[in-house]
Amino acid sequence: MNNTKRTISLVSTITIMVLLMALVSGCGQVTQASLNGGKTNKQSETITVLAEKHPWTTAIQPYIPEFEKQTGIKVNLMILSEQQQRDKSLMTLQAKSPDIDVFMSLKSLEGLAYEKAGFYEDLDKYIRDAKLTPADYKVNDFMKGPFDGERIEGKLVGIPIIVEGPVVFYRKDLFAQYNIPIPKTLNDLVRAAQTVEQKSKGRIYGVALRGLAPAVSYTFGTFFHNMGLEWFDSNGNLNFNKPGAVKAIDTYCTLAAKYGPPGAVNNNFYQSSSLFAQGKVAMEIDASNELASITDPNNSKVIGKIGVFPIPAGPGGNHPTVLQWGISMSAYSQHKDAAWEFIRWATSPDMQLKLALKGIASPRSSTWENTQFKASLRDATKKEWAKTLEFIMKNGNPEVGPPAIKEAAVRQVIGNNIDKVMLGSETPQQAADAIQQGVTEVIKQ
Amino acid sequence: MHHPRLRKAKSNDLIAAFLMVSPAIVFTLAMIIFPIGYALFLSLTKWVPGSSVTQFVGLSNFRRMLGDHVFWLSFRVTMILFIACLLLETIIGIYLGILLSKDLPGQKVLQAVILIPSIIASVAIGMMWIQILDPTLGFANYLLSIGGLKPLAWLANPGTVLQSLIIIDVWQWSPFMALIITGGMRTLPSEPFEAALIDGANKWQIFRFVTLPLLRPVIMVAILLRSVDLVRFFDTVYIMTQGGPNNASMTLNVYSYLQGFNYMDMSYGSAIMLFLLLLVILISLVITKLRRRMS
Amino acid sequence: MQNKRYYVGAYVQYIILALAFLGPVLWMVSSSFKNNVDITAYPPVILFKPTLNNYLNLFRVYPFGQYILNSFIITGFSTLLGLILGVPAAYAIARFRLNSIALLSLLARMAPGVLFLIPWYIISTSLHISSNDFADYLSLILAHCVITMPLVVWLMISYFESIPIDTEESAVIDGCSRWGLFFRIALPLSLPGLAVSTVLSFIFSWNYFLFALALANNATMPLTVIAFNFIGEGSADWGGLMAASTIISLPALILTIFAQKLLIKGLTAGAIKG
Repeated sequence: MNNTKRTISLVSTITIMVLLMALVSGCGQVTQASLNGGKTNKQSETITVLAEKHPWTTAIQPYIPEFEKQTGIKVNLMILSEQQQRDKSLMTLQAKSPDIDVFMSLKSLEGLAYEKAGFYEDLDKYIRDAKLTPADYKVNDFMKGPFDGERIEGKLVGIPIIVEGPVVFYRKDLFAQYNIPIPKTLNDLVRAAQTVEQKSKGRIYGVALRGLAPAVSYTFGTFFHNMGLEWFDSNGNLNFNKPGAVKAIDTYCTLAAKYGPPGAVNNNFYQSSSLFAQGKVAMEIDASNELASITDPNNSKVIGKIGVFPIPAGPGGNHPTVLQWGISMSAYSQHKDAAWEFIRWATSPDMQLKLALKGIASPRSSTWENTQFKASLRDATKKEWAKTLEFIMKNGNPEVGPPAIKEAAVRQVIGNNIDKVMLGSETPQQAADAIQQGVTEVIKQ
Repeated sequence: MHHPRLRKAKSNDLIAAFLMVSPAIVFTLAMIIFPIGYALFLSLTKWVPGSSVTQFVGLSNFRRMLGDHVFWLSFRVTMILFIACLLLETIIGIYLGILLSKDLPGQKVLQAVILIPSIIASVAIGMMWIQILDPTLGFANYLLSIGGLKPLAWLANPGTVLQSLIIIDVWQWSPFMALIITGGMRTLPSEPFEAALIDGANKWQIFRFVTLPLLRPVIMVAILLRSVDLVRFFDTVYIMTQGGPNNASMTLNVYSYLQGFNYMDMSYGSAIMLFLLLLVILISLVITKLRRRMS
Repeated sequence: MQNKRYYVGAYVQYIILALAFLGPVLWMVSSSFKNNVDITAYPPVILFKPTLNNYLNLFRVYPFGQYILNSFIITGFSTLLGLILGVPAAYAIARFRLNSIALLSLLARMAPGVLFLIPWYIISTSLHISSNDFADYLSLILAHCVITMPLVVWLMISYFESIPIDTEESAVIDGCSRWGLFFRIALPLSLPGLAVSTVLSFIFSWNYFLFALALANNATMPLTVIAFNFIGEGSADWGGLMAASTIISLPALILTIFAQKLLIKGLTAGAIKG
């Protein structure tokens, strides 16, 4: 029996080795063959656009057949959720695969790493070429903030498609009922949240904001900047060792832990929006895009009672976080001209206006001055929303977190320590110290 | 064994066994050798996204691992989840498996029904439990409030997040164990039970001295298969907490994923993944050793 | 009297178990017929006006039929392939006690899924530059086979081992070859095991999303990857998610119900053996 066993094992191993070698050499040949074949086969062009499940994508999707008809280019639109879209783009680009031609990319998050990796096609040469970009594209129409945000280390790596930023959504009816003025400072904001909790006898929470560690920086950033602090000082050292940083953490965590819903530490945008839409909180601090969610009659019980204002100023003024999404071209695309045609079409003044009418905040100034667009801001909520966004775009700070190649790791450190304060296991001072040390370590890695 | 036909059959057996086993081996090796080799290669280099130049750094990724407190934390969390879930799921699985092997009317319905949690896609499981366990709007706290109990923060409290994950996992995977065990119950011979009954054994004695020993091989396989998945705890954490709050639910698998994909450090991520692979292999070896010793 | 108490006891347990395991599922299914605003409502809305919109939207907004078909193609073939590769291997392993090979086959299942993503992606990219759907399906089926095959091997080993050797030896004396033993004796006797293996392989393959994320394109994307797309910035479609989840769960549920017959059949096979 034992002999049988040994023989089988031995024979199996040898055969498998031979088979594997045959397989590997076979694969090599296939690769060669298909590489040669790929170039000649170019009758009708198809480009693949990798997009996130995002309001912009939903808005532009119905217009894509128009583009296909106009240009004869077929668009293969692949839509994935945020996390998965990022995984997919990283995988594809890392393999230097031509499978993706155009992709949505968040420059404030992966921009630096992707640019260093050489994943982005340089778009300057397309935009400067009059043949590829006719004058009616109006490059100068893009607002400086979002457009510069698509520039990394001097190179244009994307074209902005939508502008957003953290804002405060609030319940007008509750503010009137409890006699709360619109907060002018961060201290007012805390007081407003406190008043809501006191006067509603704890029935309604003051404010819902993000606690989920990777997501915190987006909303926390404005608190930090409003203390008069950039992420780094002029010597390139992190600014978390300043008293303002401690104050920012303290304010943010007071709001979340004292006047926020229980368990805010695990909350991301959708939990906050559910709470707000159900009328359980008086304020929600989250992305301007959440307006769509909380004003959707299918979702919300508080329609018609919603107002919007910017996160109020702190001792250092008001520098709200502004974030732009952009579409970029893969450096490994084999249909670059077609890809550029798509990008140009999707970001043209005409298309951006059409999308703006569907609630997509445009990065082009002409859209905001357009009478048709202005007329579309009928109800009070929409008007306040637009006013807030304009304020953000004018005064915005585009750095969502301290810029780094390992941006997500940096934000995780910040988020984790803010969470510790929310949970009461660290003081704001300890958290600031830990962030100062932790982020510096991550950047060094 | 000494029958002439048996001996002749033996040489044919060799060929037959080889033919039976080799497709599976070829497939396994072809699919996993390259990935594991690639991970090993990555773990010894400093990975820079996009770059094809490789810089070997020796064991420094592994050294970094040893000094990384989040790594040790996630090791601890992984082991807690592994042991707690495995224990509860095995016990509940055996109980369910035996209950379901009785041919009562309605047994079929129940068997199909309790298997549903294992069937639902993990995304749905995760998102569903996020809603149910929401501290303010969730159904779970509603039930507690009806019972006059204080609401809990569930996933949002470092002190309760693991318990919540364990509850969800036990709910999701005990039926999986039960299904394997029911299958085993159905292949058991009936004589030992009859003999035990004649000897006047009570229910507990039959279970302890007849059912359990006979079921042991099947139970061990169920344990082995579940262990391999439990040590790689991923889906629900990835969807519900991302390892939070404050790393309280960070498992090795999630941590290596975050390092590799989110923090774009494939080298370090690979090092953690290889450690995890080693851990899984080790645990499986221990279980197979136990299995052999018992049979 | 004894009998009656036995029945009552068993059914009390049935009801408690059904409630415990089915409760959250009921919540999911009922949510799939609710508006979003009712899904997140507190206190929970028990009585509501059911709507089919969530389901209709799935097919209106997404090519949901295509996703369902993709899931069936990937899962069906990977389960089949897993059985073809795994069952004979398990038999040989059980009969010749090839424990090291058994462990090797499990190795594929031991490795964290993330580990495969980039290497496989590199291979599949280099194999199908022009990215055709057939190659895509094939790579997905092979990838999912990494999930199904080890499961089949390990489950079947234990079922094969529980078949007494003497049953086979008498057949050998009657002139049966090893393949004959496998097909005519071992396989029929382990039908319940086969049913369990099929059901579990199907479920695991059906629910796995990570490989498809790496290897699928638009046309070959299965259901589970799409299930992530319901909760995004500016649109949290809880109803859509719950409806999609309900649909995703259905095929495996139906399969389980069908496999019950096989499980019972196995019982009679066991009786013959006894």
